[in-house]
Amino acid sequence: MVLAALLPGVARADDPPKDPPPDSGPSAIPRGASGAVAKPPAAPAPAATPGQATLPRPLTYVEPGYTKEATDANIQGVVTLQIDVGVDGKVKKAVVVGPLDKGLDDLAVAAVLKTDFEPARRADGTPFAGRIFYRYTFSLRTVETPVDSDASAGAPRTTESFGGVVLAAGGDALLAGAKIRVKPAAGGETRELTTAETGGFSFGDLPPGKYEVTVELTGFQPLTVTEEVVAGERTEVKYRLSTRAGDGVIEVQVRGSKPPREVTKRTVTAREISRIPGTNGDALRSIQNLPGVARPPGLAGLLIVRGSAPQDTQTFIDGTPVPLIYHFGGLSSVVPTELLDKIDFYPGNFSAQYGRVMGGIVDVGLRAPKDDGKVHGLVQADLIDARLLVEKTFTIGNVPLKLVAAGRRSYIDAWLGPVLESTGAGVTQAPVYYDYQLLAETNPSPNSSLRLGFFGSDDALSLLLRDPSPGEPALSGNIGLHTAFQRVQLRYENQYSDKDSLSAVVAYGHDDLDFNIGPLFFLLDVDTLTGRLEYTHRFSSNVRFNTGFDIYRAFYQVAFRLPTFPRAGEPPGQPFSTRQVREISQSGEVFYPAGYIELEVTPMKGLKLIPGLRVDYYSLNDTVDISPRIAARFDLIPGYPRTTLKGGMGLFTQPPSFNEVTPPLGDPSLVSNRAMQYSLGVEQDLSKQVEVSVEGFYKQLDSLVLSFTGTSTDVQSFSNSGTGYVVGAETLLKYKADERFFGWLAYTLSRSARIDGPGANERLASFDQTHILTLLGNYKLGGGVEFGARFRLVSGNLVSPTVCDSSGGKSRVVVVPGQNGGPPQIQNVPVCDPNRTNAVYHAPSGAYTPIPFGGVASERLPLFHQLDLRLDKRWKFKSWELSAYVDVQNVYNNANTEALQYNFNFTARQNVTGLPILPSIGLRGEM
Amino acid sequence: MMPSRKRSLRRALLATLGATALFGPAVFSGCATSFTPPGKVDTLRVLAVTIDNPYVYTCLPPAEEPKCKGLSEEDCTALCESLRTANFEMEVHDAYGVNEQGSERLINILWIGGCFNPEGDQYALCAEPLIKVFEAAGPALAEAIQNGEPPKFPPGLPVGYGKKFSITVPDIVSSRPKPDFGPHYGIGYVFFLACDGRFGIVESDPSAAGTFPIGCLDGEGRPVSADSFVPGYTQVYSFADGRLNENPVVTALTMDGEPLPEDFAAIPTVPTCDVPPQDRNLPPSCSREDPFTACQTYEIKVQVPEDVAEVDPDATGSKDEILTETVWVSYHTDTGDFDGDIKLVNDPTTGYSAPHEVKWIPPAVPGLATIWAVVRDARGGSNVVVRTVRVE
Repeated sequence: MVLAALLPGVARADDPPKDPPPDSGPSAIPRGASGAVAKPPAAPAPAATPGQATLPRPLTYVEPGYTKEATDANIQGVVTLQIDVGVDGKVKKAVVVGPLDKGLDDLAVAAVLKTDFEPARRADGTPFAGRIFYRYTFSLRTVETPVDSDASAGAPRTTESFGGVVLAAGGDALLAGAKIRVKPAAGGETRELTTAETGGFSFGDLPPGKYEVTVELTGFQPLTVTEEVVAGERTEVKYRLSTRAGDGVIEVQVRGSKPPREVTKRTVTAREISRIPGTNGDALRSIQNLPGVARPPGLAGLLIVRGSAPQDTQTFIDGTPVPLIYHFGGLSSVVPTELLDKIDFYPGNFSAQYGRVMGGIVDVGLRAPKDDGKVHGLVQADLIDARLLVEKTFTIGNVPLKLVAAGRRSYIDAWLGPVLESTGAGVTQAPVYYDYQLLAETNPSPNSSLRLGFFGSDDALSLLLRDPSPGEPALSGNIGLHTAFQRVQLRYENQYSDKDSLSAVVAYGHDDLDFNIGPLFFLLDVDTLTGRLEYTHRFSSNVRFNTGFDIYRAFYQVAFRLPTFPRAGEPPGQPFSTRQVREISQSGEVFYPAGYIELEVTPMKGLKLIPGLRVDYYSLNDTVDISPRIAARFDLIPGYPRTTLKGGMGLFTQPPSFNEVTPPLGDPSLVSNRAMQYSLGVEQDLSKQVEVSVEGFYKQLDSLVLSFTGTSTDVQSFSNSGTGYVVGAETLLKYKADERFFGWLAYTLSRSARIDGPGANERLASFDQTHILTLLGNYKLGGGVEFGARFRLVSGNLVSPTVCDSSGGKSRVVVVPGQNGGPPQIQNVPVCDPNRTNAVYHAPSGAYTPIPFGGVASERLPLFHQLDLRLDKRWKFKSWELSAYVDVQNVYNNANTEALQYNFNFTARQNVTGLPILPSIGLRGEM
Repeated sequence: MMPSRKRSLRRALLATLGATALFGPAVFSGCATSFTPPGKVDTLRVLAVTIDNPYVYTCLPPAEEPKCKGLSEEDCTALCESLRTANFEMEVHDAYGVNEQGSERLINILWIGGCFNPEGDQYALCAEPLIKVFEAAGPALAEAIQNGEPPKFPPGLPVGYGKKFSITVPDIVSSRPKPDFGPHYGIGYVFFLACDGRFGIVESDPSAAGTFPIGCLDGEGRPVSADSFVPGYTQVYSFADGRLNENPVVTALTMDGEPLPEDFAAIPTVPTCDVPPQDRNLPPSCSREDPFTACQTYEIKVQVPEDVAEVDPDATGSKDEILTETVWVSYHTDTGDFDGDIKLVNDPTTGYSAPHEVKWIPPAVPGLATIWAVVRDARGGSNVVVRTVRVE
């Protein structure tokens, strides 16, 4: 787990800092041949005070050295590293965030990787993995504590009036490079210094009086205090800075694997998520920019992962399955970004802890409420919705209770209703959505956390069809759609020891899906009880064992009135709405328990194997599925430049859907859909900031449930006769976020095919997208202004045309038999004959029965391409922040084709285009 | 007053940006001319095929047939023959009227029956018998079209020419196994083709998923467009329980409440509407004059009795109540425009729907306007009423 926030610190005056080590004698600092010296970041600090959590602290010092090139070039400066220190005090990873030229940053990385640390410890002394910033100052002369440059040159120093040291809160790590600004309270000139590698600073000859002192350092919260300088006395201070969220320290990790249990890992920072153009700062929409994720059609909020159908991907919030992750139209996700701690995204080959789907997994983790004792809030409004968030920690008895409450509501209904009315459509209720979250968390012990959460989402829309559409005379009246879910969730985690941990989550929920159109309706109510219990035991540093149990139990009530298939005596081709209706009301229950075991084995350094086994039971069709899986990661070259090989294979099953398996409509003898998945890839650091990953995947599908109409026109049957495959490769070339820029190029090449029964021809799956290219980047211009761009180039959607496309003028070669015994003739004939008979008039209904031109998914629409731009501006005030953005989608107004439309007798076709240029603005205040 | 002007400017800017975001799809994609609505007849169209017996009656043996009680065997046979005969009549209209050379278009109408009880009741499986009958009728048909006179088909061939056609349905019930559930019935398909040209077999296209086997060819043997060729099909049923289906009853077609007369001499006259045709077929979101407010409109309504819908013997509601047929009306015109062209007349659960009228606006040019109303029920029954209005 990433150590994100340190304990809050309070500035206080303390003992003066120790002097740096001398230049000669047993404790002298080693020098290079040319007088070069590398100053260590800090001297070893005393052990943690009992009852107080501490950051990692260095125990040894490894001399990094100085390269000849740097010496010759007179290169000096600071190398800032972000290092992960494990529970054993070893540095697991070092990333350069502030580099230097001529190989100095490489030396710093090499040195820190050999440095021993005292690990971070909880208040009770339990060690845990932590992340800190760590600096090496490279200088070619001895660095002395900087003094105020305004002090009179040459004048003897009499009294150092104001000085001190700056440390990180929660420990004794000294912070070099912090900027100290001192401004007289009565007005006057501001003076400024930067702390030395010892964290010390000193202002000489300050006139007596009160001063506003500001301390700033990248990655830490700024500190502003008022100090008083008394004549003839030296004021000594010790300032402690807390880390700041949002500047790359807190990560919302979008991961292909929760390391190390899966094959693919992807990480996206909070800054990246909130700045990607076209996503409105929505974290879950940022998933659609990753490789392996297809572009959903139009405004659909679907996740199409590695060629799988949308229903093959499951979404969770903190381990609890939820029916949908986006509000309708995909405009916004059901959980606001500000409440996210992480997004675990598994495009395939996921751990045995997940099951019941063959596609991908999205597991959203909600963050803990802030616990600094202050009230924090956030208000944001844009053209679509407004949101509010408030959080605070209370103390009840001696127990801290952290609370966060958030809510969001759209207000499209305020103006879309009148707009639709003016265009002739009737609106009973314009689209509206809202979502809400209430979390309460406490720590029963230093190693455990207990959270009670309540969250939910609601989408509603109702239109009035005043007149029926052509071809559907009985379809008029209200069209209504309402989807909602609520969950009450209890989550418990306990790290009992270094070896054992337990996590449990149980949730009770309610789902609503209501759809009605005229006299027809479909109403579904589901009460769910879900739970997961997982126990982990670490046998040794090389072997870890995970086992768990998860259940899904649901009580459903379904009622629908829908047209049946044509009955005897009813012409089959007539309008849907004129068919006889069937009304069914039914209730029942579903019980899907599952158990799994998994081993994480490190047989040799750099190699990790994760075999697992999952067993599922499905009550609706009384079947048991056993799914073995294995994943592996091998660091061919550990450290920088890292090369990691990864791969996995496994069996994934997905039960038939409810209507396919429940009488009277379904067939309970059906078995689960199956997918055998394989993947192989490599991750490579190209430079300190650039990494690339390439992964190939293959999925073999079988036992797919197909529906077909039997010889009797009143029965629809199902069978497990479908097969198929998905094959592809995905690439991610990423420039990791630095202080100015982040960006990536994601490209996926894939093919998703299906075979609808024995002897049938292979066809493309209806959501197959051969090429998916996303190029995006964000640059900080300075002055709180950021600019971002995203370009997408995606293969067009597949359609099943009835009318061929005669616009292209394409022709094909055919061989025509010779006449009167003559030789065969080769002719060029148009691919599309504009005079082809596309439909047959059905007299009893007055409608036309189309004659398909191509088969299912046989024509691909034109290529999709779109550019989105975004501009952000942030203003920082004393205790709060204001930011504004403009996000313009489809900047050059490309008319992307999303679907085809036909006239009533299928003699003409028209492209249905997607959204035009779409600007959006937003304002956000945060404290 | 500067602060309020700034506020109003800011408000206007935000409203414009917001409106663009939300109106954008309507503005940018909705102003293209949409398709011609089905109610507008501007090409060769088949508007209806009515059958006097949508459900033909198959008699039991004469001794057992209740309809033959008191009849001689000969009379019973004749009665049963008539009950098994379905008579079809086509309502067809060619909006072009004349061809490119200026001469009147002669629309050839061909009927082909003889396809009974295909597998799964799928009409597409009638392709083979359809081709066989066509090939047998081909020589007589070609000669007739060439000579401009009705064809003389071989006797016994289920084929016909012209707007009317009759077929005697064999016993299609007994020859079909009784189903496990539902009524015991048989089905027969009848195909019809209206063509400005000559008929010919169309080779199946291997690149296409399906092909209609008979096409309409011009003088050079090339297929004509859909403006000049309409293939279609209808069907007849026969039930073992002898149920029948009557066509919906139509009493009149009114304009503004007054019945439109059949007598040409008494037809009403209305003024033209000066909104040009290119402005009439745009979505309401586009900024153009709405012809339905700019011109005088006329309410067109088909008159049917309130009990127009028969009881549907197999249909029951959620409370086991007996339901009636769904009945709807389609309006058509060859000139002028409707504000909508399809309306529900009877809902199975809620019953008769009185408001099933449409608004009609006259064309921009004077002439004669023909208005059709085709009333259908969900069991294959239909009825047509046609009237004319003079536009000056």
